Amino acid sequence: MGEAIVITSGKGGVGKTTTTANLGAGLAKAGMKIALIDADIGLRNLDVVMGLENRIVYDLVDVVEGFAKLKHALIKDKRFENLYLLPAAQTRDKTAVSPEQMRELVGQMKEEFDYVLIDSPAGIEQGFKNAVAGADKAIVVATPEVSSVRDADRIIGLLEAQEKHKPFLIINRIRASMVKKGDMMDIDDMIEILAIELLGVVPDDEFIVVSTNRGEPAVLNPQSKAGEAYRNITRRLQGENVPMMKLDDDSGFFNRLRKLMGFKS
Amino acid sequence: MEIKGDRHGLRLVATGFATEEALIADLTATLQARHDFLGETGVYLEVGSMALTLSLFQQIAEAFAPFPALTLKGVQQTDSSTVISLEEKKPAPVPLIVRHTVRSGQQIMHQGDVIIVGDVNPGATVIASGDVMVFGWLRGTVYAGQPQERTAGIFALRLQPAQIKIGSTIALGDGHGERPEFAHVDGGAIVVQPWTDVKLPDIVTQEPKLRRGTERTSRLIN
Repeated sequence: MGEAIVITSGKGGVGKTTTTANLGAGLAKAGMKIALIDADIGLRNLDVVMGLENRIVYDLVDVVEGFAKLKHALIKDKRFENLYLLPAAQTRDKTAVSPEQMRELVGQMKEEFDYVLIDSPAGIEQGFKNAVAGADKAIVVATPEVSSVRDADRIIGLLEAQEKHKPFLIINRIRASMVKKGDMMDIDDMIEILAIELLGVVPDDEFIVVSTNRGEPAVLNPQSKAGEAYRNITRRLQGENVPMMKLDDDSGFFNRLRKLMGFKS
Repeated sequence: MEIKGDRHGLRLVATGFATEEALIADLTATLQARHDFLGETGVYLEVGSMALTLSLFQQIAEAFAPFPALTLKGVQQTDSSTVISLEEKKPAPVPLIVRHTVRSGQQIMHQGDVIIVGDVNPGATVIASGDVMVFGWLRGTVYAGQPQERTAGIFALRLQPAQIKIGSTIALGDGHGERPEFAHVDGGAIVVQPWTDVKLPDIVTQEPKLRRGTERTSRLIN
């Protein structure tokens, strides 16, 4: 029996989908059997980030409504035999499924997969309730912005009210140089307010934009800093004790020079 | 309507009214005319031999509502020795103890005092008719002594609120607050003072940087 983890945030655009794709690919690379569910019905993205958009035949709503069998709707990843995606419907909206239906679907998928990762939509309405319904654990993604932390706090409150396992925190898109100058909230400030266990810190990385557009999760790229952070997070998810990555400030003149000259730090 | 003073304090004497409506009309008129004279004080109301019904109480309370400076301390019949004191009538409300952090979007409302063992985060609201004590960071919005109990206080180990209100007096936070403090109303304004008569475990008074990495989180949340 596997485990279902919802990836959520409250605020939009903080990297839920990117995180889902990277954790999915990272865990699949480690040999686990993984299913990703895109619960953002009407605004599906996870298929694009995974590079699987042109393979969609059936979707989550088709399965819930009984038009398609689960095994027909699941798309096998291009890179990993053991990684599957259940895409969202694009022509419907969040009311097309209910939390009870999601709970049943996720329960069914947990029997077959080691991990079921559910990509939640932004917001606290029906879409969020659907995404959370079947999950055993939750990962809250927040960026070092006051608005994101506020929304993450709201989401944690809602998750606690549902008596889920205490959520984990991923801090996304941190910039060491800005934190140093005091222009960005630092990790300690965020943990101070949110008071949940930190699963990992992902640095801001231009490569994420490239990888998202190409549909190749950064976790598979050995050069990417963000990819390294996601690799560490997947190991922590499996219970390994991995020290937090050192966030280097690479904005200095010499660092830039070194980069230009092609040295890998 | 007469105003008398004795050793119990000020008393509004309203005898000889036939109906509740007439009494209330005269009470309203008297309060309108004399509230400047009465100033900031507590008064008793003497209602002759009129039956002390719930509807009468409600109407009296409504008549007093526009005058926050006046506190109705009790209602009494002239010929009986029974004073229905509003202060004594209320059974002491049980304080509410919240053993978790109050997060953004969460609201706690309670008749009586509220004790929070945890933080009050930005975007969270706590409303109490009595005092509010926060054993943690107060970063949200706290209203104490609602609707009009101006003697209530707001206590926190770190008082960095967005907004606080005591009775009908409201104040915005300034983002500072690095030690235990409490807020109360003094001379019509909210005043913040160090909260010194509390002995706290070192773990909660240590600076945040030192405090991190301890088991505080799980202790407060679970």
